[in-house]
Amino acid sequence: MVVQEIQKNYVFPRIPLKFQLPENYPEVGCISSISVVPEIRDFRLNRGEMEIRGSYQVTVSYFEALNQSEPDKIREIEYDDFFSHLRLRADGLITDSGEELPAGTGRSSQELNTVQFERPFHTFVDLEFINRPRNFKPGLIIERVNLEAGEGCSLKGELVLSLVNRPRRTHR
Amino acid sequence: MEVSQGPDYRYYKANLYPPVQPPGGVLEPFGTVEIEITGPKGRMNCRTHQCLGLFAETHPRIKYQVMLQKEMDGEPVVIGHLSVDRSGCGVLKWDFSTAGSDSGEGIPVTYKLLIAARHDAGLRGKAGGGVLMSGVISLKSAVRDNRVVGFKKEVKVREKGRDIKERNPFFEKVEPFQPPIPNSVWWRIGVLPDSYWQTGFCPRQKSNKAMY
Repeated sequence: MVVQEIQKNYVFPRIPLKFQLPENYPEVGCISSISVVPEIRDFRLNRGEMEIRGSYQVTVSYFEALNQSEPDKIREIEYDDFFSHLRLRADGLITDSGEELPAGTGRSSQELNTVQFERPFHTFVDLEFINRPRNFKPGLIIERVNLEAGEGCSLKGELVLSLVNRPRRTHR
Repeated sequence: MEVSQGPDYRYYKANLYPPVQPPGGVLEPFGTVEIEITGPKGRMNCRTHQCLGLFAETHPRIKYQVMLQKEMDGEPVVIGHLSVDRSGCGVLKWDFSTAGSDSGEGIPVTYKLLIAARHDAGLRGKAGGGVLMSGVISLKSAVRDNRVVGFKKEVKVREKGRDIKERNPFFEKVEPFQPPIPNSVWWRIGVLPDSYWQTGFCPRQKSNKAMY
Protein backbone atom coordinates (compact mmCIF):
# COMPACT_ATOMS: atom_id res chain seq x y z
CA MET A 1 0.00 0.00 0.00
CA VAL A 2 1.45 3.27 -1.08
CA VAL A 3 -0.10 6.62 -0.56
CA GLN A 4 -1.14 7.98 -3.90
CA GLU A 5 0.42 11.14 -5.08
CA ILE A 6 -2.17 13.82 -4.65
CA GLN A 7 -2.86 15.90 -7.70
CA LYS A 8 -3.12 19.53 -6.80
CA ASN A 9 -5.71 21.49 -8.67
CA TYR A 10 -5.13 24.91 -7.31
CA VAL A 11 -2.67 26.42 -4.92
CA PHE A 12 -4.09 29.29 -2.93
CA PRO A 13 -2.09 32.42 -2.26
CA ARG A 14 -0.38 32.35 1.08
CA ILE A 15 -2.30 33.21 4.20
CA PRO A 16 -0.42 35.25 6.77
CA LEU A 17 -0.89 33.80 10.23
CA LYS A 18 -0.94 35.92 13.36
CA PHE A 19 -1.87 34.37 16.64
CA GLN A 20 -1.97 35.92 20.06
CA LEU A 21 -1.34 33.51 22.87
CA PRO A 22 -4.09 33.37 25.47
CA GLU A 23 -3.40 34.63 28.96
CA ASN A 24 -1.34 32.64 31.43
CA TYR A 25 0.64 31.04 28.67
CA PRO A 26 4.42 31.37 28.83
CA GLU A 27 6.50 32.97 26.15
CA VAL A 28 7.46 30.92 23.12
CA GLY A 29 10.97 29.58 23.14
CA CYS A 30 11.19 27.06 20.37
CA ILE A 31 8.30 25.52 18.53
CA SER A 32 8.21 21.77 18.74
CA SER A 33 5.43 20.88 16.40
CA ILE A 34 2.61 22.37 14.40
CA SER A 35 -0.46 20.59 13.23
CA VAL A 36 -2.98 21.95 10.78
CA VAL A 37 -6.40 20.49 10.06
CA PRO A 38 -8.28 22.19 7.24
CA GLU A 39 -11.95 21.52 6.92
CA ILE A 40 -14.41 22.47 4.22
CA ARG A 41 -17.81 23.23 5.71
CA ASP A 42 -19.66 23.65 2.44
CA PHE A 43 -19.03 24.56 -1.17
CA ARG A 44 -21.17 25.86 -3.98
CA LEU A 45 -20.75 25.82 -7.73
CA ASN A 46 -21.62 29.05 -9.38
CA ARG A 47 -21.44 29.75 -13.08
CA GLY A 48 -17.78 30.52 -13.39
CA GLU A 49 -16.43 29.85 -9.98
CA MET A 50 -16.59 27.66 -6.93
CA GLU A 51 -17.32 29.10 -3.56
CA ILE A 52 -15.69 27.38 -0.63
CA ARG A 53 -16.32 28.03 3.01
CA GLY A 54 -14.52 26.33 5.81
CA SER A 55 -11.99 26.68 8.53
CA TYR A 56 -8.53 25.61 9.49
CA GLN A 57 -7.42 24.55 12.90
CA VAL A 58 -3.84 25.19 13.91
CA THR A 59 -2.36 23.45 16.93
CA VAL A 60 1.02 24.61 18.12
CA SER A 61 3.06 22.97 20.82
CA TYR A 62 6.12 24.76 22.06
CA PHE A 63 8.68 24.90 24.81
CA GLU A 64 8.86 27.81 27.14
CA ALA A 65 11.52 30.41 26.49
CA LEU A 66 14.54 30.15 28.73
CA ASN A 67 15.22 33.33 30.58
CA GLN A 68 18.47 32.28 32.19
CA SER A 69 21.40 34.23 30.87
CA GLU A 70 24.05 31.81 32.04
CA PRO A 71 24.37 28.37 30.53
CA ASP A 72 24.23 25.42 32.84
CA LYS A 73 27.40 24.83 34.76
CA ILE A 74 29.04 21.52 34.24
CA ARG A 75 28.91 19.60 37.45
CA GLU A 76 32.35 18.86 38.76
CA ILE A 77 33.09 15.55 40.26
CA GLU A 78 35.23 15.36 43.34
CA TYR A 79 37.95 13.10 42.21
CA ASP A 80 39.64 12.98 45.55
CA ASP A 81 36.63 11.33 47.10
CA PHE A 82 37.27 7.71 47.63
CA PHE A 83 33.63 6.74 47.25
CA SER A 84 33.18 8.53 43.97
CA HIS A 85 36.04 6.47 42.71
CA LEU A 86 34.16 3.37 43.76
CA ARG A 87 30.99 4.55 42.07
CA LEU A 88 32.78 5.10 38.85
CA ARG A 89 34.02 1.61 38.90
CA ALA A 90 30.63 0.12 39.75
CA ASP A 91 29.13 1.79 36.73
CA GLY A 92 31.60 -0.02 34.59
CA LEU A 93 32.35 3.20 32.83
CA ILE A 94 35.59 5.08 32.99
CA THR A 95 35.23 8.38 31.28
CA ASP A 96 36.51 11.88 31.52
CA SER A 97 34.45 14.58 33.12
CA GLY A 98 31.29 15.76 31.43
CA GLU A 99 30.05 12.33 30.55
CA GLU A 100 26.51 13.17 31.56
CA LEU A 101 24.59 14.09 28.48
CA PRO A 102 20.98 14.99 29.06
CA ALA A 103 18.62 12.45 27.66
CA GLY A 104 16.49 13.34 24.72
CA THR A 105 16.05 16.91 23.72
CA GLY A 106 17.57 18.34 26.83
CA ARG A 107 14.30 20.11 27.23
CA SER A 108 12.58 16.99 28.41
CA SER A 109 12.21 18.44 31.86
CA GLN A 110 10.32 21.36 30.43
CA GLU A 111 6.65 21.19 29.82
CA LEU A 112 5.26 21.18 26.33
CA ASN A 113 2.65 23.88 25.98
CA THR A 114 -0.08 23.38 23.44
CA VAL A 115 -2.33 26.06 22.01
CA GLN A 116 -5.09 25.68 19.49
CA PHE A 117 -6.41 28.30 17.12
CA GLU A 118 -9.23 28.14 14.62
CA ARG A 119 -9.81 30.54 11.78
CA PRO A 120 -12.56 30.53 9.19
CA PHE A 121 -12.01 31.17 5.52
CA HIS A 122 -14.23 31.95 2.60
CA THR A 123 -12.81 31.93 -0.93
CA PHE A 124 -13.70 31.66 -4.56
CA VAL A 125 -11.84 29.52 -7.09
CA ASP A 126 -12.11 29.96 -10.84
CA LEU A 127 -13.54 26.85 -12.45
CA GLU A 128 -10.88 26.84 -15.14
CA PHE A 129 -8.46 25.40 -12.61
CA ILE A 130 -10.69 22.39 -12.08
CA ASN A 131 -10.82 19.82 -14.83
CA ARG A 132 -14.09 18.09 -13.99
CA PRO A 133 -16.35 20.43 -12.07
CA ARG A 134 -19.23 17.98 -12.03
CA ASN A 135 -17.38 15.30 -10.13
CA PHE A 136 -15.35 17.64 -8.04
CA LYS A 137 -15.42 17.17 -4.29
CA PRO A 138 -12.96 19.65 -2.93
CA GLY A 139 -10.44 18.80 -0.31
CA LEU A 140 -7.70 20.91 1.14
CA ILE A 141 -4.13 19.91 1.77
CA ILE A 142 -1.30 21.86 3.27
CA GLU A 143 1.42 23.02 0.97
CA ARG A 144 3.57 24.86 3.46
CA VAL A 145 3.42 26.06 7.04
CA ASN A 146 5.85 28.30 8.81
CA LEU A 147 5.43 29.60 12.31
CA GLU A 148 7.83 31.37 14.56
CA ALA A 149 7.74 33.34 17.73
CA GLY A 150 6.86 36.96 17.29
CA GLU A 151 7.25 39.82 19.70
CA GLY A 152 5.81 39.26 23.10
CA CYS A 153 3.27 36.49 23.39
CA SER A 154 2.48 36.12 19.74
CA LEU A 155 3.13 33.77 16.87
CA LYS A 156 3.42 34.71 13.27
CA GLY A 157 4.00 32.87 10.07
CA GLU A 158 2.35 31.81 6.89
CA LEU A 159 0.16 29.04 5.58
CA VAL A 160 -0.30 27.85 2.01
CA LEU A 161 -3.27 25.64 1.22
CA SER A 162 -4.01 23.87 -2.01
CA LEU A 163 -7.14 22.36 -3.45
CA VAL A 164 -7.43 18.70 -4.41
CA ASN A 165 -10.18 16.48 -5.69
CA ARG A 166 -11.39 13.78 -3.37
CA PRO A 167 -13.77 11.74 -5.47
CA ARG A 168 -13.77 8.70 -3.26
CA ARG A 169 -14.59 9.12 0.34
CA THR A 170 -13.96 6.51 2.98
CA HIS A 171 -17.13 5.65 4.83
CA ARG A 172 -16.78 4.90 8.45
CA MET B 1 -24.58 21.85 -1.51
CA GLU B 2 -22.52 19.33 0.35
CA VAL B 3 -21.38 19.23 3.91
CA SER B 4 -18.25 17.29 4.67
CA GLN B 5 -18.32 14.72 7.45
CA GLY B 6 -15.46 16.04 9.47
CA PRO B 7 -11.88 16.35 8.40
CA ASP B 8 -10.11 13.24 7.23
CA TYR B 9 -6.91 15.03 6.43
CA ARG B 10 -4.38 16.16 8.97
CA TYR B 11 -1.03 17.77 8.61
CA TYR B 12 1.71 17.76 11.19
CA LYS B 13 5.07 19.39 11.19
CA ALA B 14 7.69 18.97 13.86
CA ASN B 15 11.08 20.58 14.27
CA LEU B 16 14.07 18.48 15.16
CA TYR B 17 16.44 20.00 17.66
CA PRO B 18 19.93 19.02 18.74
CA PRO B 19 20.02 17.27 22.12
CA VAL B 20 22.19 19.86 23.81
CA GLN B 21 21.57 23.55 23.73
CA PRO B 22 24.66 25.47 22.69
CA PRO B 23 25.75 27.63 25.61
CA GLY B 24 24.57 31.16 25.11
CA GLY B 25 23.34 30.44 21.63
CA VAL B 26 19.90 30.34 20.13
CA LEU B 27 18.49 26.89 19.58
CA GLU B 28 17.83 26.37 15.92
CA PRO B 29 16.16 23.36 14.38
CA PHE B 30 18.36 20.87 12.57
CA GLY B 31 15.57 19.43 10.51
CA THR B 32 11.87 19.07 10.02
CA VAL B 33 9.41 16.23 9.87
CA GLU B 34 6.20 16.59 7.94
CA ILE B 35 3.41 14.10 8.44
CA GLU B 36 0.30 13.96 6.31
CA ILE B 37 -2.50 11.61 7.29
CA THR B 38 -5.34 11.04 4.87
CA GLY B 39 -7.91 8.70 6.28
CA PRO B 40 -6.07 5.60 7.43
CA LYS B 41 -3.00 6.23 5.33
CA GLY B 42 -0.17 8.45 6.21
CA ARG B 43 3.15 9.59 4.91
CA MET B 44 6.07 10.99 6.74
CA ASN B 45 8.72 13.15 5.12
CA CYS B 46 11.82 13.69 7.15
CA ARG B 47 14.39 16.23 6.11
CA THR B 48 17.53 17.52 7.71
CA HIS B 49 19.07 20.83 6.98
CA GLN B 50 21.76 21.22 4.45
CA CYS B 51 24.13 23.17 6.65
CA LEU B 52 24.91 20.14 8.79
CA GLY B 53 26.93 18.40 6.12
CA LEU B 54 25.98 14.95 7.35
CA PHE B 55 26.87 13.33 4.08
CA ALA B 56 30.21 14.92 3.56
CA GLU B 57 32.88 12.76 2.07
CA THR B 58 34.90 12.76 5.24
CA HIS B 59 32.68 10.19 6.89
CA PRO B 60 30.81 8.37 4.15
CA ARG B 61 30.33 5.18 6.10
CA ILE B 62 28.10 6.51 8.81
CA LYS B 63 24.44 5.64 8.53
CA TYR B 64 21.78 7.82 10.01
CA GLN B 65 18.89 5.96 11.54
CA VAL B 66 15.49 7.50 11.97
CA MET B 67 13.67 6.12 14.96
CA LEU B 68 10.20 6.57 16.31
CA GLN B 69 9.52 6.17 19.99
CA LYS B 70 6.30 6.26 21.92
CA GLU B 71 7.03 8.52 24.80
CA MET B 72 5.43 6.44 27.50
CA ASP B 73 6.96 3.05 26.73
CA GLY B 74 10.34 3.89 25.46
CA GLU B 75 11.40 1.28 22.93
CA PRO B 76 12.46 3.14 19.80
CA VAL B 77 11.63 1.54 16.48
CA VAL B 78 13.91 2.06 13.54
CA ILE B 79 11.90 3.37 10.60
CA GLY B 80 14.67 3.62 8.09
CA HIS B 81 17.85 5.36 7.13
CA LEU B 82 18.39 8.81 5.79
CA SER B 83 19.42 9.04 2.19
CA VAL B 84 21.14 11.88 0.47
CA ASP B 85 19.23 14.47 -1.45
CA ARG B 86 20.56 16.16 -4.55
CA SER B 87 21.23 19.23 -2.47
CA GLY B 88 23.00 17.35 0.31
CA CYS B 89 20.17 17.08 2.81
CA GLY B 90 19.18 13.87 4.52
CA VAL B 91 15.78 12.68 3.36
CA LEU B 92 13.50 9.88 4.43
CA LYS B 93 10.04 8.98 3.20
CA TRP B 94 7.95 6.58 5.22
CA ASP B 95 4.44 5.33 4.56
CA PHE B 96 2.40 4.12 7.47
CA SER B 97 -1.16 3.38 8.38
CA THR B 98 -3.25 4.38 11.34
CA ALA B 99 -6.05 1.93 10.68
CA GLY B 100 -7.55 0.24 13.69
CA SER B 101 -5.67 2.32 16.20
CA ASP B 102 -8.00 5.28 16.51
CA SER B 103 -9.31 4.16 19.84
CA GLY B 104 -10.44 7.16 21.76
CA GLU B 105 -11.35 10.57 20.50
CA GLY B 106 -9.23 13.38 21.73
CA ILE B 107 -6.46 11.35 23.30
CA PRO B 108 -3.31 12.24 21.40
CA VAL B 109 -0.41 9.84 21.20
CA THR B 110 2.91 11.48 21.79
CA TYR B 111 5.83 10.30 19.74
CA LYS B 112 9.45 11.17 19.93
CA LEU B 113 11.41 11.15 16.73
CA LEU B 114 15.13 10.52 16.93
CA ILE B 115 17.88 10.63 14.36
CA ALA B 116 20.98 8.79 15.45
CA ALA B 117 24.27 8.05 13.78
CA ARG B 118 25.11 4.42 13.41
CA HIS B 119 28.49 3.42 12.22
CA ASP B 120 29.09 0.70 9.74
CA ALA B 121 30.64 -2.56 10.77
CA GLY B 122 34.14 -1.35 10.14
CA LEU B 123 33.77 1.62 12.39
CA ARG B 124 31.62 0.12 15.06
CA GLY B 125 34.47 -0.84 17.28
CA LYS B 126 35.70 2.68 17.59
CA ALA B 127 32.56 4.54 18.44
CA GLY B 128 28.97 3.65 19.06
CA GLY B 129 26.38 6.13 18.00
CA GLY B 130 24.64 9.13 19.33
CA VAL B 131 21.41 10.95 18.94
CA LEU B 132 21.95 13.88 16.64
CA MET B 133 18.53 15.45 16.87
CA SER B 134 15.12 14.74 18.20
CA GLY B 135 11.62 16.11 18.09
CA VAL B 136 8.33 15.61 19.85
CA ILE B 137 5.05 15.24 18.02
CA SER B 138 1.60 14.27 19.23
CA LEU B 139 -0.59 12.55 16.71
CA LYS B 140 -4.26 11.85 16.96
CA SER B 141 -3.89 8.12 16.63
CA ALA B 142 -1.19 5.54 16.95
CA VAL B 143 1.02 4.77 14.00
CA ARG B 144 1.63 1.34 12.54
CA ASP B 145 4.26 0.34 10.08
CA ASN B 146 2.91 -0.24 6.62
CA ARG B 147 5.60 -2.45 5.23
CA VAL B 148 4.51 -5.90 4.27
CA VAL B 149 5.89 -8.59 6.51
CA GLY B 150 6.37 -11.90 4.83
CA PHE B 151 5.25 -15.21 6.18
CA LYS B 152 7.33 -16.58 8.94
CA LYS B 153 9.23 -19.65 7.92
CA GLU B 154 9.80 -22.24 10.52
CA VAL B 155 13.45 -22.16 11.34
CA LYS B 156 15.20 -24.49 13.69
CA VAL B 157 16.68 -22.49 16.49
CA ARG B 158 19.94 -23.98 17.53
CA GLU B 159 20.43 -23.78 21.25
CA LYS B 160 24.17 -23.85 20.95
CA GLY B 161 24.23 -21.10 18.38
CA ARG B 162 23.01 -18.52 20.81
CA ASP B 163 25.24 -15.71 21.85
CA ILE B 164 27.86 -16.88 24.25
CA LYS B 165 27.51 -13.81 26.37
CA GLU B 166 23.92 -14.59 27.18
CA ARG B 167 24.79 -17.65 29.20
CA ASN B 168 28.26 -16.82 30.30
CA PRO B 169 28.29 -16.11 34.03
CA PHE B 170 31.40 -14.03 33.69
CA PHE B 171 29.55 -11.43 31.69
CA GLU B 172 26.82 -9.46 33.30
CA LYS B 173 24.23 -7.61 31.29
CA VAL B 174 24.08 -3.91 31.94
CA GLU B 175 21.15 -1.72 31.03
CA PRO B 176 22.01 0.82 28.34
CA PHE B 177 22.37 4.39 29.36
CA GLN B 178 20.15 7.17 28.15
CA PRO B 179 19.44 7.80 25.35
CA PRO B 180 18.73 4.19 24.47
CA ILE B 181 20.12 3.11 21.16
CA PRO B 182 18.62 0.00 19.65
CA ASN B 183 20.69 -3.03 18.87
CA SER B 184 23.40 -1.95 21.21
CA VAL B 185 24.17 -4.13 24.14
CA TRP B 186 26.37 -3.02 26.96
CA TRP B 187 28.40 -5.52 28.80
CA ARG B 188 30.69 -5.31 31.71
CA ILE B 189 33.06 -7.84 32.93
CA GLY B 190 31.96 -9.19 36.25
CA VAL B 191 35.05 -10.99 37.36
CA LEU B 192 38.36 -9.29 37.28
CA PRO B 193 41.79 -10.58 38.18
CA ASP B 194 42.80 -10.15 41.77
CA SER B 195 45.56 -7.76 41.01
CA TYR B 196 43.04 -5.34 39.55
CA TRP B 197 41.25 -4.85 42.84
CA GLN B 198 44.30 -4.70 45.03
CA THR B 199 45.98 -1.71 43.49
CA GLY B 200 44.73 1.44 45.07
CA PHE B 201 45.62 3.38 42.02
CA CYS B 202 43.53 4.22 39.01
CA PRO B 203 45.50 5.61 36.09
CA ARG B 204 42.42 7.18 34.48
CA GLN B 205 41.70 9.47 37.38
CA LYS B 206 42.37 13.14 37.12
CA SER B 207 44.45 13.41 40.26
CA ASN B 208 46.86 10.57 40.08
CA LYS B 209 47.29 9.73 43.68
CA ALA B 210 48.13 6.42 45.11
CA MET B 211 45.77 5.58 47.94
CA TYR B 212 46.87 3.32 50.73
